[in-house]
Amino acid sequence: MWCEIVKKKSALRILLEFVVVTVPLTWFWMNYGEAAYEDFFRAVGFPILMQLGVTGFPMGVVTDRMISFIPFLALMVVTPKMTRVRRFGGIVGGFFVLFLSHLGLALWAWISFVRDGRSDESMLTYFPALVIADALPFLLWAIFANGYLKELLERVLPPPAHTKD
Amino acid sequence: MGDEDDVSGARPPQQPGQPPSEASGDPGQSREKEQPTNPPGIGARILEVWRNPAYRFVLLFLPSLGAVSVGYPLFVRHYNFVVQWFILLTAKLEWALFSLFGSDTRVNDKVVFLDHFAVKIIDECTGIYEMLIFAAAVVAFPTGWLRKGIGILLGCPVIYLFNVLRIAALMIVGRDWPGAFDFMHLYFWQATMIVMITSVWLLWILFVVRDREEKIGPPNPA
Repeated sequence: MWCEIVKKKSALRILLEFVVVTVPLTWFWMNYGEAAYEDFFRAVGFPILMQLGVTGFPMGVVTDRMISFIPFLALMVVTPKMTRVRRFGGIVGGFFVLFLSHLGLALWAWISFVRDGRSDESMLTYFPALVIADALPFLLWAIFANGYLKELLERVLPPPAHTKD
Repeated sequence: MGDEDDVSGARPPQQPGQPPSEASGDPGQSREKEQPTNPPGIGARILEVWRNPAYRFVLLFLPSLGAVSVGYPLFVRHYNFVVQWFILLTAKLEWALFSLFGSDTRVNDKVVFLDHFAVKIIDECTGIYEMLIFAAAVVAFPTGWLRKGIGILLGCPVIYLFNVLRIAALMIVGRDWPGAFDFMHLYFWQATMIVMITSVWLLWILFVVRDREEKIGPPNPA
């Protein structure tokens, strides 16, 4: 089976492409992207958060997760068997959802660290938001790369009972 | 980069002997036979989404993720000593790994030293987040519980091992190329975390789920 994968070059090629895409993107994010996105988030996100009653939150715990754009973008770029429209549309739609998730993360941080007061419990209350935020690029990829994933799963799974006859 | 063949909207090819469609037969007859075709109801649409294994996985992954992300803090509230022990184990493993190669290393509680460079191991460094996401992805996958159990029992240690190597690599970078440490930390933490989980998950699907499906019965022709 491993030989089959190597022969098809699919898994190795995808992994290599992922590295080729993520290294410059991470460098770009560290040097320019993060600061620019933080400015954008302050300009666009803060007014929305204020409307929701957020009075302040520890920015550090949210900015740590703002890099989620990079793994999502990389997964969308390297996934085979996607039309340009689906790939581009998925990236745009995914970026919007990730922006919303950063708003949600900020709201959750405010609840955990400010509204309820900072305590030993704060990080535990905030924890589910972190895990969901970490998993979101994978989840969004699974939705937008549905065709590729479906093909992969159908190769592995037995057909549903209703299609057997 | 990715190819452009779309499979998302792919339809099965028409069989050579199969009539093209009812509507292309005798117009008079087909009009008599024609049934009023109602658009599929909401139930049928939900069922259609459910029958798509990729969407089904996503729909099951969300509650699984919710369950593990809420369950873990509850676990920590009652069994924090387990997490602390896990952090200490990770620190000791890093020390043991460097000792193996004769490096000047020591460990002091959760802080590991490699020459003059030191890192403090925290719970995020233990790979617990990655293991939780992976476990949720395995639980959400539509296969038997035995295979899910194998996936979690084999996959989590693999992820943990990756994580130990990741910290070791970061410590070497921190000691020898301190200027690159921030980049490498960000890269090996956030940017590649998802590919680590996705890789182990796909390997589990290929080597455990598919392998066992093939042993149980003929593979799905799709």
